Amino acid sequence: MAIMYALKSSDNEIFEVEQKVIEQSETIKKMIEDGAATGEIPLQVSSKTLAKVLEWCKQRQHKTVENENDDNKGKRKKERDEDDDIKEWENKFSDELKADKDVLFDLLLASNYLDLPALLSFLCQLVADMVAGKMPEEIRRMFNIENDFTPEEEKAITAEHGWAFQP
Amino acid sequence: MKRSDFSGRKSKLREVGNRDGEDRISSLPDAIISHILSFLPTKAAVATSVLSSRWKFIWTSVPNLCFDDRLFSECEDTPALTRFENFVNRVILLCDYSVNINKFSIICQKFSGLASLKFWVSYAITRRVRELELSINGYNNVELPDSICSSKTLEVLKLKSDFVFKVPSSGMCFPCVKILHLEMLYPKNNMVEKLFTICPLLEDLSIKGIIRGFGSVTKFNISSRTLKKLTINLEDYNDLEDKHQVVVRAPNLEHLHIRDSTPVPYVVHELHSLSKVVFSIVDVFMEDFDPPDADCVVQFLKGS
Repeated sequence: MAIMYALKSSDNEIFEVEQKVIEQSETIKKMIEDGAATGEIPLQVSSKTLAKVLEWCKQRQHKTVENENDDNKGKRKKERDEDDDIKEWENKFSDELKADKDVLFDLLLASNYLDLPALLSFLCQLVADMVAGKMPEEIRRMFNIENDFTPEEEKAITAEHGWAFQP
Repeated sequence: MKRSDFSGRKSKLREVGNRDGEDRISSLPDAIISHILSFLPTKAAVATSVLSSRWKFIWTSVPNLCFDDRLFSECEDTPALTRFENFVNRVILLCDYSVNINKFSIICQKFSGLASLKFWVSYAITRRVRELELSINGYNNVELPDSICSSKTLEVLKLKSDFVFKVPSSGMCFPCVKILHLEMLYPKNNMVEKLFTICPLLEDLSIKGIIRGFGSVTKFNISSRTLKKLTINLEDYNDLEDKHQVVVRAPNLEHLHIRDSTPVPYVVHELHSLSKVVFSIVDVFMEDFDPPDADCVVQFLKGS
């Protein structure tokens, strides 16, 4: 019988999760090792975000378990199929986040707070892909970044960093 | 219950769930923004400095520095190569020296004649680079600093071009390198006979090369107790009767992948752990190869 832990979101929702799934979070793993994970584990993450985090962790966990259970026979074909499945799952996951950037940023903060390096890298890559090839004005618009430089400052910084914008 | 908030500053907006128009990306911690920028070519990372005052200096602590000359084009006043070199030099001047470099890559495919490459590599090594990738156009031998052989932080080294560095005559080379991928135009004996026998932690070695013997037979000598994966891809245009030779001694090798233009015998010793072998003979002149010859090479492998 798998050991379960109860995670409490910042809006007081309880999530029952298998130890193996949630131990991907270095933060929680350390709490468990430290004996600090008795009863409900209060997390500074909203239920909406936590559900997303767990969706990711379960997918990763699923992948590791299947790889462990495989014997060598027929492994390559299976691996290929699985890789396709994972890609498809990740694409869907990415598309949802791109459509709702608030969830994306909540998830970025949560992956940092919970110390989930794989998720953090995945999300940083996703944001980098969104930024890549765009002009400053497009990036500002996409993320509501306010250009707070005075016209003089902007002129100065463009002159100073002009070498970075030349084609 | 009140929503907890990470950034604090803008919690009011977030409480009511109306976060439209909020600049969430700029309120991320510096470390996360640097992490995001590390997935961009350095040119694009530097360009974010103009977004707002928050972004002005964040790029200077990005742990990956990746330069690609294909992002630079000719313009009226300065040649593109000069602008590429100026760009790299500016970045090196401005970025934070205390941050360890995770990855440093120079891709210079469009132009030849980079003047500062040796200096840049030396700089990356002093900033404790973990992964170094150099892909340089041209047939010239590109000189690398001696420090590359003794770096204690370098774990991944990928070189594409004919590089010259002093292979230590005794002792070891690349003390911490686990992944070594070399793509050489004309591998030379003084490099390939010795180098692959003195890397103490090597796990993944890939050698790609075009061979012109210039009067002597090219001998590849690979000997490693730590090596798990070996990929060899050679084309021999040698006019000599004797083609190149490859000797492998790697008791812990698990994956062996050989692609060769010539059915030369591969002398392989002590294969105790091998789980996967791919061997292909590809005629460089695109003529069909006679299957029995290929068989003969495979037989040779099995018998060893």
